[in-house]
Amino acid sequence: MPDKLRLTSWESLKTWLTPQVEQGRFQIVSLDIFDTLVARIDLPEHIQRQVCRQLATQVTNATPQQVFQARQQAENSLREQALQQGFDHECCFSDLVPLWIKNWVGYEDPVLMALAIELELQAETTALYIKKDVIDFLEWLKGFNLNLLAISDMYLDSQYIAQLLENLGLKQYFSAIYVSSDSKLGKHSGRLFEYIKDKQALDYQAWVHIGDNPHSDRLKACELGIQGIWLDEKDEVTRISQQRINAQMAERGGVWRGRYLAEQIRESLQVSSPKHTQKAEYFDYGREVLGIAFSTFMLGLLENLAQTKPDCIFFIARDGYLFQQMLSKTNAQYQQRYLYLSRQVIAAASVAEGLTLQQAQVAFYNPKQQGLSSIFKVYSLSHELLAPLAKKYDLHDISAPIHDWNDKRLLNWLADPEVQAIIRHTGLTHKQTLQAYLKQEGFFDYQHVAMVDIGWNGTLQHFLTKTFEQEKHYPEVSGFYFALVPKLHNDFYQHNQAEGIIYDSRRSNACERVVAEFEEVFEQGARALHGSTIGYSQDALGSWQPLLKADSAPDRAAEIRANPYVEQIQAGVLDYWQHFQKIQQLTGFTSHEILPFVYGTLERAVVYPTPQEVKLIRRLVHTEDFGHDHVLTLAERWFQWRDLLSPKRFWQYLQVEAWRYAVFSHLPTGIANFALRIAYLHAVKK
Amino acid sequence: MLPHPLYLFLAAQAFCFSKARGQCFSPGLKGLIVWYSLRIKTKLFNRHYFKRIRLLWEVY
Repeated sequence: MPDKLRLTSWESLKTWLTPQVEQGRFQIVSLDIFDTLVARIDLPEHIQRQVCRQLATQVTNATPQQVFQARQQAENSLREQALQQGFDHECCFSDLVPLWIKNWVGYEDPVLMALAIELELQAETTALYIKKDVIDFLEWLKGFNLNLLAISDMYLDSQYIAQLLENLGLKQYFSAIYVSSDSKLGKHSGRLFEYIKDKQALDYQAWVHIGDNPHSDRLKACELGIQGIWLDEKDEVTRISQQRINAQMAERGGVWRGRYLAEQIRESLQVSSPKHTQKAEYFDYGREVLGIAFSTFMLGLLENLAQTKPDCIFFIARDGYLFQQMLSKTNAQYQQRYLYLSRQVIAAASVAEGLTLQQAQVAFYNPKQQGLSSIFKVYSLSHELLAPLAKKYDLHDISAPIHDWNDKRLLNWLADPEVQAIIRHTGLTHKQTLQAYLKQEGFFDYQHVAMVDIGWNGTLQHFLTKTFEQEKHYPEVSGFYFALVPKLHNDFYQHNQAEGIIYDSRRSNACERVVAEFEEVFEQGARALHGSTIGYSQDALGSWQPLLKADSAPDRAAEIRANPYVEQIQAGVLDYWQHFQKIQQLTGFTSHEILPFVYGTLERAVVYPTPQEVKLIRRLVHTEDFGHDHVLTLAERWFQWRDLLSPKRFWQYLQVEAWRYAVFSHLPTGIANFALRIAYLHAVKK
Repeated sequence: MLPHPLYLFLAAQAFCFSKARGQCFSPGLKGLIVWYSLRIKTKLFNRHYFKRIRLLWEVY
């Protein structure tokens, strides 16, 4: 009997084999397929359950559990039958499918049978990947003119295994594929080796077999005189046992489901990791931090779209840009458009009926508000015409902040009929232009539309509805937001729905609020690279084109400098999304099941960022498209010990800092951030 | 960068000390204990490991 060999890597295998094949000791090399040449990113049982879930959708009132049980029954009975006939405990997928479908629906439905096979192969293709160093090894073996065989104990027929190997680009290396399902003889009994020997008239002495199972691939082979080699890769064994633990924990629900999914995606990403570019750090940030949040949002969006069934989806500029890109990478078939809108153009149109106090107050939400000047900017009103009228009401400095939102001077100014007439005239002009653009884009052609945007107050949907709800063809609008905090506008009028998928303040869940703790990073990650829309103009053909903020504007120039970073972040998010979809399909987890882990990931990224992450985000700039030209610097400075000498000033700085947790990120242990988090959670209104 | 379950558990304690509602990303003490015990069990008592030790013995 040959020595029972245990080798721990493909490299050591190569080293051991080199003299043997050079001396001509072996002419046949056979390799086990599953967990040796290829690995799965999910457990085999999960793959089967995924097929059952998809099949169950084809028959009314069928549950995935029923379909799975029917499959188990069919498989067990075929395996028992094989044993009784003197074969090994094996079964074949081609025999299994008719019996499975018959057990489930009562007869052999050819459509369901074909679908079951197709889904099973699809799921396996999704889950399988070639293990590291395998291609190098096979390429090396190819140079020796040996007879290469692929062998597996598996229920799929050899034709399907061949198809899977073909998809992975591995089939070309092998002269034949032998699977236990064909002969109903397995490696675990040694009888599959005997069968192959007879079939190919092989000599055991000239045969070396390599596999990950010490019993089937080494012991049984060696007992026959084949040189069996146990490929015992420590990383692979750890990976599989970790996968099992994660799967077991996922059954508990809560944060564990999302974690299981994220672990699998990480594995999948590691396998197909693209080569890093110069700005890989932004790419990685997009992939590792924002990827799971935006992908879960997209999953939630798809679930909502399947329920609400809108006639068309409008992605709103600029932060809806990434979401449209992500939707285009799915198989979903929806009519979709990208609308060049901004809060500025919609707000300008919304005053066609005059400016109310509530509308005027919207301009004061910005911490850097400049009183009337902010109102003029937000609603694109004329300084020249309106400023002189303000003087009548003691509003001499139009740039002075108005801290009392019910200031009598402001109320009197708003009550002036001359003021309102000017506002109405300007508003009507803006409304007519916007209406023409929306009409051209088909917004009024549908009965029910979905609007997708990052959030936060639903201002666009609010103003759009307020401006056009009296129009005869105004559609029913469902707004889907990454985060929704409708504190400015909590009334969405008739025929309107709005939902925050990742964060909705109406759900009153404190964990979700982490998104609003640093909303700028999500906006930056999702925004389009073009400038914000400031109006519309007609071209020579009469078509309405958006007018974008000039590149020379100071805030736009800062944005342009940050565009390459944003582009890299989005490339990372899109890469993550591709893997997310694949794994989510295998696990079948819904967005609600994944969300707890997403909140955990965001809590880590927002509240406990690493100094490296803070340095990256610092290079991004944030601008407002609400009539302001401000550039918001992100994470401007670190905490210094001398700040303790002027705590009041430091506290004031913390209150206006967009990312207050970044200030302490360089301090070890994260205790400072933990304390600040407790303080914030204490202070925040429920 | 995947947050470790223990890290999530500790971070979620900030919610315990506050009035804020919701601890949804915490794996929970029980979940954490089960997770650690599964890992220890896999390392110590998994039959697969015993089999590996036996087969290693065969080789050397």
